[in-house]
Amino acid sequence: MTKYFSGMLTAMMLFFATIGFSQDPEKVEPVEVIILHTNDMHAKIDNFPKLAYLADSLRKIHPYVFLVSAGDNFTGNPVVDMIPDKGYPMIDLMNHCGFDVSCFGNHEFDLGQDFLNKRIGQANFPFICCNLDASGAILKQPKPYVVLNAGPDITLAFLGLIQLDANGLPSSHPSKMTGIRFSDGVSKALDFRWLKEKYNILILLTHLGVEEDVRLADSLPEADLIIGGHSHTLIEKSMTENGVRIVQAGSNLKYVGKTVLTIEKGKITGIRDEVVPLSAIKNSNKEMEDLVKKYNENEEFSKVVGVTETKMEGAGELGSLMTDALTDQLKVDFAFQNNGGIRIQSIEKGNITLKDIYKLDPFGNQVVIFKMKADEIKSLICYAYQLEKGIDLQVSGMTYSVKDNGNHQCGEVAMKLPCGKKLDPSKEYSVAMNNYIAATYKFDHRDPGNAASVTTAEALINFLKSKKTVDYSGVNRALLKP
Amino acid sequence: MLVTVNKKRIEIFNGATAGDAVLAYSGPSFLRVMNSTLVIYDRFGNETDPGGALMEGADIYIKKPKRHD
Repeated sequence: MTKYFSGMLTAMMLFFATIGFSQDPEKVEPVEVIILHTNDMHAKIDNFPKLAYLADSLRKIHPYVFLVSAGDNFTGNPVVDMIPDKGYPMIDLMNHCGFDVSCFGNHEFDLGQDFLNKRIGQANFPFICCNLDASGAILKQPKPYVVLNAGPDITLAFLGLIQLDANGLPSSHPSKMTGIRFSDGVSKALDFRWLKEKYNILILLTHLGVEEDVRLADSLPEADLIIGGHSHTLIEKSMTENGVRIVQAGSNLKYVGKTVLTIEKGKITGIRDEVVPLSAIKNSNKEMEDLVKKYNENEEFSKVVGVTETKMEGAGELGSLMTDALTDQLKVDFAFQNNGGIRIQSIEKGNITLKDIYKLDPFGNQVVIFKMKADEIKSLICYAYQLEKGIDLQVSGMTYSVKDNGNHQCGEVAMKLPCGKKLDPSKEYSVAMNNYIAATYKFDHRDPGNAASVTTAEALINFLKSKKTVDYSGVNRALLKP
Repeated sequence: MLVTVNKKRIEIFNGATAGDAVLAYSGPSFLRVMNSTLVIYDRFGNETDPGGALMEGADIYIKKPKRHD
């Protein structure tokens, strides 16, 4: 009997300890929700197996783990961007990782609306944006927000926002956004204040940049958390503005942000955040490793994008090809390419592959377009000549010659259109160049210039695909006058 | 647009990245950023990738990387 009562006592003690006999019956234990967040992955796929391992490991021990992206999933890696099924590898990998939601980044539009619709359709997660009206566009209208549940009692509303440039559009080529109307994200977010009242927890998933996120926090203190992107900011120390926590996890999937929300009675009572360098994670998901390997070894890169009828040699021929690609694809009057950006000596007669293009132009340079008058173009040519002590800029849309005044000083510059006429000194011409020239060459320009949201390599690939066959034998449009 | 790098005013094209602004500021500094001996920080002290977008009026700084003990 004693043994029996002793056993009963132990069982009763365990029972009361378990149900919290002495606890306040009104008291609800706090719940933790983990949000893993990426931003500006820019098609960098190599760390996906580590991200998947981390996410899966947390899911095994924690019931509420969400994985979200603050936009710019695409653009920045040819194995994702320059294949016929462009963008698909990112969606496939994000699906395998179990992403729950992504907001739109400006580079999502680089795919073009048809491709973007397809990719969004293939995603197992929604793309959200509240300051975008696609009713007159090919793009299917995204939802402004999504509500994720952590158990029966906790709801988290994620509201998506995208940045706009001074021209009122996100930073992508305007032709990619035809028919879409955008409104200021910070102002538009105010229309969604009610999300906080209805769902208790309001998370802004933004692609605005950290400066705009600060402005957003100042305008919308009801928000609990801003998960940001666009400025590629690594917020390592907690950043709080107007009571709103702001997080961002660098770029290129080098890091993942981990934000832990402590929630009591449906409301956030604590936030911890950190950024985890994926290089520090030693394990990885094997299935994802195989997928990443498959995408990195894409045979598309050996495919032919064009044919050259003759061997192309030297800066004159190769630079003429590169600049013709810009005038053709960007519909500008002239284009310039610096010799230092031409990274191979020649392309053999015959097939030109994607690999050849990325060897010729490996830097991922962006195209920048200026409106310039003839005297400004002349100042660019002269600066480049004196900088490199010789002809430095290859050109399309015109020819030019420089007379050396001695000691590598730029003298007379004669610029001619293909018809043989001189440039009109009163006319404003559109001029394309890479961002290296635009940022570092000191030349006169009243127009500050605008990034065209396309790389020089992309323009070249598309040019070759459209021309199919080229012949630049003997072409040299920039000459030193004796 | 106008931005500053280490408090020096830099006029740069619209849509420029933090890396473009550093390139315009100083070529050698840009190379050091690319080989990680210098790091770009925003006005809040956060590290910024060279590919990060810049807004009109942004202030960025290039400094030696913070130690990660």
